[in-house]
Amino acid sequence: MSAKRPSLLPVFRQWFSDKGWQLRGYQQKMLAQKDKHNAILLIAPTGAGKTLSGFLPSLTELYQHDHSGMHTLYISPLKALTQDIHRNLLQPIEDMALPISAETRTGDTPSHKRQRQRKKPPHILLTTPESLMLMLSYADADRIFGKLKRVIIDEAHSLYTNKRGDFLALALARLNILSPTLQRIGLSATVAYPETLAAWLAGTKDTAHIIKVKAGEKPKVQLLKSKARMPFGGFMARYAIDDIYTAICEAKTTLVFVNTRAQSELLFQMLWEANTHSLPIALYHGSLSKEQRRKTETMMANGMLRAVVCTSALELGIDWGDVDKVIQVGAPKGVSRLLQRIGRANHRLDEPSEALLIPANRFEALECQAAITAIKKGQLDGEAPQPGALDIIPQFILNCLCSTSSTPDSLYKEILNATPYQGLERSDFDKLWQFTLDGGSALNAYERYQRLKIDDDGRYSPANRRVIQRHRQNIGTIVEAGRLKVKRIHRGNQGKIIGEVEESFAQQLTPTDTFYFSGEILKFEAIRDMQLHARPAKAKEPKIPSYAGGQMPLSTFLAEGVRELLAQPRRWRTLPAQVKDWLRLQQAFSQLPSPEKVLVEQFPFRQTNYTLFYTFDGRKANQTLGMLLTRRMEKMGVKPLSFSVTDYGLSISAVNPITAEQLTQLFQPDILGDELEDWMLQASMLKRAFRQVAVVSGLTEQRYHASQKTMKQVTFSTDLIYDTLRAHDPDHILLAVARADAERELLDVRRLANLLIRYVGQATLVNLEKVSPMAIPIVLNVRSEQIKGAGAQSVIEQASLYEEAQTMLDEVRALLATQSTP
Amino acid sequence: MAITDKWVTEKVATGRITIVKFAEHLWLLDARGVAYIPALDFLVVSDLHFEKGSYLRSYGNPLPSLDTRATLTRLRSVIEDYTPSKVISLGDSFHDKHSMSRMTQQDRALLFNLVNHVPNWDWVEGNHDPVLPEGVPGTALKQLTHDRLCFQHEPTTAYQGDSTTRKSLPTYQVIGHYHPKIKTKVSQRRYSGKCFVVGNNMLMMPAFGQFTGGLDANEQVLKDLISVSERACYLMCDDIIFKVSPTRE
Repeated sequence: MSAKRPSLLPVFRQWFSDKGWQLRGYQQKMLAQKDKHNAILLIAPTGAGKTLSGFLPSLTELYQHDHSGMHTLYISPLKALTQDIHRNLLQPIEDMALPISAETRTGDTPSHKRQRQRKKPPHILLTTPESLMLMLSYADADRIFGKLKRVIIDEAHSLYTNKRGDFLALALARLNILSPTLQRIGLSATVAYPETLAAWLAGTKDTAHIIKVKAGEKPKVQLLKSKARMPFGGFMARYAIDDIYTAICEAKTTLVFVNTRAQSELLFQMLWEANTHSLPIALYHGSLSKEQRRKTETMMANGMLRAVVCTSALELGIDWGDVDKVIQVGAPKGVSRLLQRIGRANHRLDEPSEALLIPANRFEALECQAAITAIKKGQLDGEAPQPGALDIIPQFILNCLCSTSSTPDSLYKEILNATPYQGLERSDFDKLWQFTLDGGSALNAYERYQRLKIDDDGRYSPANRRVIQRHRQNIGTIVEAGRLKVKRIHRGNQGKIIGEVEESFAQQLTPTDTFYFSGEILKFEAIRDMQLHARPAKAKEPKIPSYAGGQMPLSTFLAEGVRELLAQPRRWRTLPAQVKDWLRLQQAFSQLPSPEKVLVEQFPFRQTNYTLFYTFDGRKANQTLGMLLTRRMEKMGVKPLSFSVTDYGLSISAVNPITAEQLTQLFQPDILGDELEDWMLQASMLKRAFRQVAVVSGLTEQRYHASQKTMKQVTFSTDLIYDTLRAHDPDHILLAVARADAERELLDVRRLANLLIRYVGQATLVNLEKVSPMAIPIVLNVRSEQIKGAGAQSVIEQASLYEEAQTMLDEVRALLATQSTP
Repeated sequence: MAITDKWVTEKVATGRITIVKFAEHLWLLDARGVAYIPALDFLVVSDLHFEKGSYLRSYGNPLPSLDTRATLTRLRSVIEDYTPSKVISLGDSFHDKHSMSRMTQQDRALLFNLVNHVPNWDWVEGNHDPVLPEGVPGTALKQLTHDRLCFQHEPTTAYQGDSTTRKSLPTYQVIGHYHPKIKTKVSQRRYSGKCFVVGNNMLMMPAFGQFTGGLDANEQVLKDLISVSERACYLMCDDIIFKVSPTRE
């Protein structure tokens, strides 16, 4: 038995015992099975030391055998994570004096270091999917990656159901061409569907061998029961600030998670106002400058901080050592996400993590309670994977051709090896190929220009250096709003860059406006040279930075949990008293949503009429429903203005109220009829999807932004391209791709159909004089979809009425009369 | 002239057209991006930028080159509505000097046909098209002067030239070149789009070309030309044109 068991090499055994550690069962399994499978998926709860397990096989191999060139590639979804893992990896390498080189490579890596890495690759390289794709576009990619033995994909669960996962799957397929014996190791937190992740990881020819680590102690999660009054609406949790501060005081080190960057700024500010003991509390989010973030990371690693207010930027894998409490402020949005955050506390398996949930309003308390129940039952939410996004294909084709010339046939075969694309039809590929070649419009017959050139062997390559450069500058799937650097001025024009904000946020500022950034109040001065100049200010009520950064997708899973909770009043006893009161108030004022019916409330609010549909069917279904209902309302003359969705329901604002008869006509399955197509094509949502597709596929580029203002005359909105294609080339492949993208990200027609069939004739209309207790957080949701049409026009008509208009019309008529009589 | 009392009344009522007074004339500002002067039967359009799509394509940008088709189709429907005696294309009609060689045969036919059906077609030169491409019907002009009205691509300002030319500063200028855009908020809703900017002595046309971006009307360079206190901006959005309330700009 013991002979067969792979014993750890003496030097490693010594290191483990020096650390006071033991080789864990799954780490042993990993070593034992490393040569048996092409792909291994290690699923372990956070704190299990899985990253080290991933590296162990490579460390021992590199110790035992000389290897020239790159041996192991580590891919992480976050730049910050590569830094952290690098630190942790250097520890054993230095302690054991292993002859192994390990380096990081991200967008932040200076160019001289990149050059060196390209000439002389380290044994272990830690990088991100985007940087990997860029390296794959080099002409010498085969030399860099040719001897690669292993690729480790960390936090694989955060990738495999989204576009970035598709992108990475293609990059992996390419790596396998360059190094066919390559082994893939995936590291993942506990997921709802391990087999799907295993299939994604291994590629189409295989599936990954799963090693599962038993979950540790269930975390202790509590819902805050505050003495302070909890508001009906709002998202800032100001009421609970003293409770949060007390919790921070009681713990050694606390991570305070919030859902958006703006929230983090505000909460940080409020905490410092309450910070009577002057505890070291820091702020961390993705808009802060790299230097600022590094500083916080180092202070945290050295145990110098008592608390960090942070966004999802700190959610993944970074090991902070001694965090003993996690506070979640605001709705948890999803069980898996919440568990991931809670897992940041207490990185040891044998002790339960402690977490405190702080709902910002009473509705969120329901969501928190539903999440706690799900954690107790061991339920997880997970999205099902979808077919790969097609807009990445042109990018990938060009990426491959930048490295080496090829043919459409061989590229198509390569793409089929990536799991998300195993069902890609040749005809779709051919259209995407044509798009990559010449833009793919039907009317390009007269053009000489092509992006690709063909050589005598029938192999294609980029037509010139410009095509290559342009491509390399635009690799990736994350389309961001234009950004401006924030410069904090102290005197004259002197100052320091402290972070970035979205261009749209910067544009709505006028000089002397104030806003929170990086934990202080700044006064806006001007935008100069694509920088936002601002000075520290002493204002009391600043404009909060409303940059979109860090908006979180919601999980549909919890919506169901909330619906069940509402339907079972005996389960309410675990809720804070204030929340129970609020539910009873709702019962008295209106009704509680019941599982058998769809509650529809209607009330005047902000000079328009609001209709609220409590469907509890997830935001995608609600989004689709919103589009269809508003179209029908428009035909009825209700003049809808906008709608907004949450997981729980849909709220529509309109000029006129609806009647009970109209509601019956609205809530019918036949709204899914033929008109659906037409409606979708006109929706601004589709234009938004097109905007993303246009950038990812290479139709337009996002780097244009960074240049001067006058560029605005040169660039133009992708909406114009969308309109042009719709009118003159409706079969263009990118329109189909945008449509597929919208369905993937935003719509759920099937779920909506079920909902409509289930609830035929089951919608209850309740007319109210004002907004109901339950509706408050929903109508305060800021992200709403505006509707083109009658409602909008009536508003414009009001706005454009001015006195001279009628007089001038009379004058024109008089003029026409004289001219038409000869 | 083909427009009637009834037609104008209906268009004004539905927000498709708005009326302004400029240079002692009544102007119909059409939400489709053109201006029409009924008393003179002139139709003004600016910054067509034909073949901008294919120009950008030649720089490695895989844009659909359907913009000329789209621009022409829109222009044709406008001309059919007004059947003016004169069309003034106020410069930057052709995106670059090779535009005509890249234009498809079909689009070329569409363009020639359109120009030939209008009694007078004036191509005012712009910075993108200082020379009218060979073979294009119509008259090439540096600028067009009618009474005290001057149609030209870029403005003449008082600061240019010496004191002798300053005297000859035209009283009223109609210009293109700047592609003005504006944003506004009405009852919680945001609107943005291309716009006309009308001052006491200057009328700035929006860009008509399909693939044309814009410069915000609140950029300093535009405010220097027509001061905020004297100007009115007419925003075009969703087929509607309306005057932007100065307090909401």
